[in-house]
Amino acid sequence: MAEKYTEDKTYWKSFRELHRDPEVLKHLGDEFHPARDESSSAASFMSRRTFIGLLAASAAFAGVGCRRPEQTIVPYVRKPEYHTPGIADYFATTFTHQNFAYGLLVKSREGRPIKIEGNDVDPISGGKSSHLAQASLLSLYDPDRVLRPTVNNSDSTPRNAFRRMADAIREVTAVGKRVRILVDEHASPALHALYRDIEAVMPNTRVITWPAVVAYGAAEANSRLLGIDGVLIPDLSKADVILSIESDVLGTDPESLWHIRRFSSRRKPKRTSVDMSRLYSVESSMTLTGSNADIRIPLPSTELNAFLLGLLHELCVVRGMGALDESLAALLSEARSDRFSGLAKVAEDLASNPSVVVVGRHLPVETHALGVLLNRVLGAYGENAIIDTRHVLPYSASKKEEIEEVTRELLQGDVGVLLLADVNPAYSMSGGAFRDSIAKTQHVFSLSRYADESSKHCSIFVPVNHYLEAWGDAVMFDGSRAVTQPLIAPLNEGQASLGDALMGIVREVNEQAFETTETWYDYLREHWRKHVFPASGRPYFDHFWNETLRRGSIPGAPEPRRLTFNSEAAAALLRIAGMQPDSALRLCVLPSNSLYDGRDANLGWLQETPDPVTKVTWGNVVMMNQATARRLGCRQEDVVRLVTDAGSIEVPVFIQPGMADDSLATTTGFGRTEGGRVLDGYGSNAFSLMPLLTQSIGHVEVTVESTGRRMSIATTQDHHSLSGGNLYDIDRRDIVKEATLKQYEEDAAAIYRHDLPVYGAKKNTDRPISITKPFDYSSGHRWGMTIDTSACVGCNACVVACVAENNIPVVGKEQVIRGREMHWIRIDRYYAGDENNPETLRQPMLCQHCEKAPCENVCPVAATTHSPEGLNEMTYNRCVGTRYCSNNCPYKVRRFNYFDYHGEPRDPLSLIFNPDVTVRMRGVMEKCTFCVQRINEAKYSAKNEGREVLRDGEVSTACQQACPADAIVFGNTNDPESSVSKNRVGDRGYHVLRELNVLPSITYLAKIRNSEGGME
Amino acid sequence: MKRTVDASPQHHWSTEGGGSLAARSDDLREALVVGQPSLNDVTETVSAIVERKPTKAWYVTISITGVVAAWGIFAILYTTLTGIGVWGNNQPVGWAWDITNFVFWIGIGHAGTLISAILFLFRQRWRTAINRSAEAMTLFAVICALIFPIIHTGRPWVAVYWLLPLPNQMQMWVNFRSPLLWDVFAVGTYFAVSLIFWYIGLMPDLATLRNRAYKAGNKLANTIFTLVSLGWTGANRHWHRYEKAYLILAGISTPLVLSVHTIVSFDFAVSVIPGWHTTIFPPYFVAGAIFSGFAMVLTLMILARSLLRLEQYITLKHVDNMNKILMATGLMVGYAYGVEYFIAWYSGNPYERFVFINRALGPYSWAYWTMVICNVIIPQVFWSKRMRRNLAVTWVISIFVNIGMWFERFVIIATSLHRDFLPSSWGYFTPTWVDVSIFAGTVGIFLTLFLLFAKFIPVLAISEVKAILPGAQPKHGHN
Repeated sequence: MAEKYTEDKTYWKSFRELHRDPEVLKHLGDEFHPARDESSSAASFMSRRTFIGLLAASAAFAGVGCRRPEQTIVPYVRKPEYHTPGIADYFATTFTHQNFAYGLLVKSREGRPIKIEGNDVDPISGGKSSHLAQASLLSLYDPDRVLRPTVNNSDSTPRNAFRRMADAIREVTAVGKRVRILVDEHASPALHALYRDIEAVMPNTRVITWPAVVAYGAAEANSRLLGIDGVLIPDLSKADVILSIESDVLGTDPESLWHIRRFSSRRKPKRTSVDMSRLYSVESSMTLTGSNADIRIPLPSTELNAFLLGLLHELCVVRGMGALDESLAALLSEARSDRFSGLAKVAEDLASNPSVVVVGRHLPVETHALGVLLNRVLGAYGENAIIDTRHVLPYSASKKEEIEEVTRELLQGDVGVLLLADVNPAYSMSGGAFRDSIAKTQHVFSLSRYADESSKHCSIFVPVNHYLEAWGDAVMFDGSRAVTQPLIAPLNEGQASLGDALMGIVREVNEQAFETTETWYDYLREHWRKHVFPASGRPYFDHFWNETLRRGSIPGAPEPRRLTFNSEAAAALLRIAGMQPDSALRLCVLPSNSLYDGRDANLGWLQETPDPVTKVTWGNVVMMNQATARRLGCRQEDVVRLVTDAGSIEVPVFIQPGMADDSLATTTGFGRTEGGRVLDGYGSNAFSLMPLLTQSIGHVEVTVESTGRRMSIATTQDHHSLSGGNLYDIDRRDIVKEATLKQYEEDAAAIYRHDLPVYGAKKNTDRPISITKPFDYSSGHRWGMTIDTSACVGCNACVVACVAENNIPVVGKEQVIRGREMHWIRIDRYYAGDENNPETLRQPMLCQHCEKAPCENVCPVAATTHSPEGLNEMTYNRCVGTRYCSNNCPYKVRRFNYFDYHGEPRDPLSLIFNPDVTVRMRGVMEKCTFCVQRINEAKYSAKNEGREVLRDGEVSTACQQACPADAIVFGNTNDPESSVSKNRVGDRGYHVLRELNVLPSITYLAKIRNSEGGME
Repeated sequence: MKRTVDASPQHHWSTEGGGSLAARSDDLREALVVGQPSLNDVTETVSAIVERKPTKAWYVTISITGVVAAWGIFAILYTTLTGIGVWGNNQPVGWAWDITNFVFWIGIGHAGTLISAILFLFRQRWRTAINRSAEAMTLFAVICALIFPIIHTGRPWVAVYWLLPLPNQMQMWVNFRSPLLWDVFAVGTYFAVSLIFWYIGLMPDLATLRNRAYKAGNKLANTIFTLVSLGWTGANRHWHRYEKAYLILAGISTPLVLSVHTIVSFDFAVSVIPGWHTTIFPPYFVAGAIFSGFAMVLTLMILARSLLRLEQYITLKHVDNMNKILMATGLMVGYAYGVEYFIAWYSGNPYERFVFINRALGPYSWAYWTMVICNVIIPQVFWSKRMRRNLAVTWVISIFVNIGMWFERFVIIATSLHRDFLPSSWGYFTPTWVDVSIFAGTVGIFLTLFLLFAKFIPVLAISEVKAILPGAQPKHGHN
């Protein structure tokens, strides 16, 4: 273009242009000459365009830099069949705790399991679940689960790991060494079959069941005396009188869920039917079962056999009950029943009622033998009797011999490959015992969920699946068969189920193995096709299989067993029982209620669940009574060293009322050191106190040494009993109401004998005078709850269920010590009476949803308000966190987020959250909502069906849903026919702190103790 | 100061002459200003403090208090960023040092307005020497107090405006039933009125300083004082309106003195917690507030008196009078302690009884007995006139009362909460370093502000002191 100007005459604008300054010519054609943009001011250092450019850039930067990373959510383009986003799906599966299995329904949202509930079609659980089942959800999402296999500490693939294991197996087989696979207790017929198949395919291999908690007293006694290989499960609801010999059937026993259900069904007396069983407990330690006993007799463990012998003597010799052989009768003649006060009355009670004796599973064979003899005398055995002889816990036969044998083999160096399949012997065997036993073993491999203590000794580690990711099956003690189905694809890439892993290894060793079954799933189906399907009478296996999956289980008939009483064996054991052990200081090692054997010690939910007896979290303690502590010269929270022949641990002292003299007790499951970030540093490993090759729980002689140190124990409840005669006047608080059955029968008003005077109310049912009008709930729903303190045993299922349902954070030991635990429901425990043998009262305490809630009127920002349906609602978004509501709560059930307890959850922990419940940030108050999300969900579906008012039972709270004792009933109190309404007007109902006139929505039903008429 | 002043009243007594009967009766009283300073002397003395360069001691002191204040602010920031968990508060003790400090500082703030307003209305002329500093102290104490309602919340970033009844798009109103909201109104009003009252009273003095700065040729000071003195000329009309305004504000402030702590006490009295739910609280809290306020006034004034050489104006008579009030309110407080026990026993309410037994004998008994000793037993010394006029004794006792009154609030708040209805939820509170730092920080803030005040604002009300000088009062033609 510039050329044009050279022709014709010259038009010019400046001299520089005219004289063809190259700089000017260059820009001549440009519409926007840079210089033209220059501001006229000489001071300007920036052109307009540069400025606009920078402005745009900085605006863009501002926009980019301060915005959170963009996240797009994409709705389903093709919606999966059977699934509506936002609507939960429920899948049936099976939970197995050791060899006790029961059905579950797992709530799944958008493919994530988010809540575990019992399966109501299952006869064992009856729709209930334990705290362990509830917490097993967290173990699915545990970020500390191992991601991928390792070979010599470097990442590998499962295939490679299996191949390396197979190489090792071939190598040791070549030199004539043996392969041993250690597995945990299980209830799976398919796994059992697989183990036998593996043994068949690899002849030098044996699969040994070696659980952490080894207790074979019951199985041995049953096998020797009755010819039944395994543990028999009684039905406590059939017994009018139950004698517990230091058993924890309502607590730490794996099958406790069943026992709580059966026991509690006979613990809810009404005036119309005062049917109630009576529980005696004779024990050295204070167990959960003992604390629920109507009559409890603390006795040092050395006296338990003598007590039972005396009882047997009383029943057989004095009362002439039962036909014992002469040899046995002769042995009994030396036993004395007069040593124990009240024994005669126990005998009287047992003799004159349908009764059963349950013996603690940690007790030795001879004690169990005495129990068997007593039950035989009492006539407890038989089909459909209290102890149904067909109800044998699956695979519960004594493992004593195989464990002894494998230990011998290991020590002799006969074992070339030791494969640990989901067991952790390095933890559960004392001290260095495991290291010593594998010293001569060439290869130790591990299949586990965590890189635990044992896997440190293993050259190859393959992570295995969680049961919610895997296929499996189970048989229940009543013969029902159940399926475990995966709810979610394995969260970690390199994982296989235990079955797949074992099959994979075996297949690498022997290509011909498992030819017809490609995977563990195929194997499982094949097993069912062969062993379960034929009995079903169905035409098509797939139909049968699918229906089983849908239901979770199918009822089955238990195998009939014949009792063959062996009196010689009985005599032999009786002789052992008759030996008087020296009365030394004895320690009772029992599984912990929360952690059991410590396999799930990495679960904060369980660590923070208070022990039902001591209320201790995050660690174990050694319990002893005040007198013993004084004698040993220790105080509460003194750290002592417990020394046994096997080893020693250091634990803090906990003064526990009700312990027998010279009896100590501690729990296993704590003191884990490897495998996760949560578990390390809490408590000590009580397994290391138990001598190798005997039971890993039970009584052991102990000496106590002082360490001079002290340690804070994280209890959620301090030692403040309601016992009388103290300075503080607290016995006059009528917080928990109770009466003996006799008092209740005679006059139900006995329950209210300690009522504080309330103005304007003559009768207990009267509303106190108030200056404000009552709230009008007349239309729609009015939510209410009843809690039967007579039925509640304090098992903690509700606590963990609530944690799972409501996204309640775990706060850790330090915070619990500070008093900042977040549980929305807690189980208050009070003692009454004698310090050495107190009566225990339990009272689940949660937001009472008061009609005149003291919290509501003090909140300055109206963050906690009353709903027209009687709920006391918490609006987290509005809460500024003054904590005034909590201060003004007479029940102290509100919980404050002192820190950002949820923080940034580690992957994949955030998947566990219930999407219907807000995850609370720091600085806000929270509390029980009566599971308002469940109420609303039920209301939506009712509305879809054109109903305004929900039916009774249509909505249940998480705590109610889990409660094995059926102690919690929730519902609409506007409906006079609802079960909650009926419970409320019953003659045991009371409101806690009624005299404050806050009108709680929760009615407690008084505790009835069936203690009178027995020993008193 | 050119003359040394003998602060002993006898000196003044002997030199004061006769006159009319009215004047004599006036003179029979102990003089409020000793040493017969002239009107100009008053102006000179007080203005000099503002005009002269700060001393080295002032710099050292304010550096120390400033560092303490900064440390406290850091602790507040730390709390806000981390969570209330850095304090010792827990379940069941939801409030501990935070609200203790709040009530403590609010209490301190009571003396100022009482002295300025109530004593003004009762024509207690001795108030003039101390009212300015007492009012300043009120303001600073209320500033310190106001920190706590904000920072004790879990989410102060929203609390700071959600606690106010502001119209908003959420259509969410505050809860008028909550005593915490009443607090917001009560303390807010109190602060606003106290500030205005103080400022109005300052205006003539500010104008004096303005004029002096003009004469001295200090341009900056002149500009500032010109702006803040709002065109005060000392004209008759100005004085007329000033007196009216002052009287009206005194009238407004008087009920506030009673209302603020009454409402603060409602935080507790309106609740259901035994130990809180007590109708005696309003008078008990007001008496306690005046008690603590006077103690703090004494603590600071005795220091200021000697440091700023104000012995002429703040005399032993002032100290004596204040000690009398201190003792009177102390006795009221002691009586309230006793009545609480009587009612607890008389009510037959087991929860109530327990709370008071627990106070005296429970885990916090040390705090309870500290409170009783400091508040009830030690002030009994003041039955003796000699002790009331002994500055050292007064100062030490005022410190004890400060400590005792802090513990009174702690005892009420923490010991009532830590063991309430259900023994299952009982707990114990132990403070953390953050709790201590924040409290220390507010002391630092308070002292820093007071030091700034003492340096830059006339510590005595010049015009008012002049009005009580001998001869300043109209004698109705007799003199």
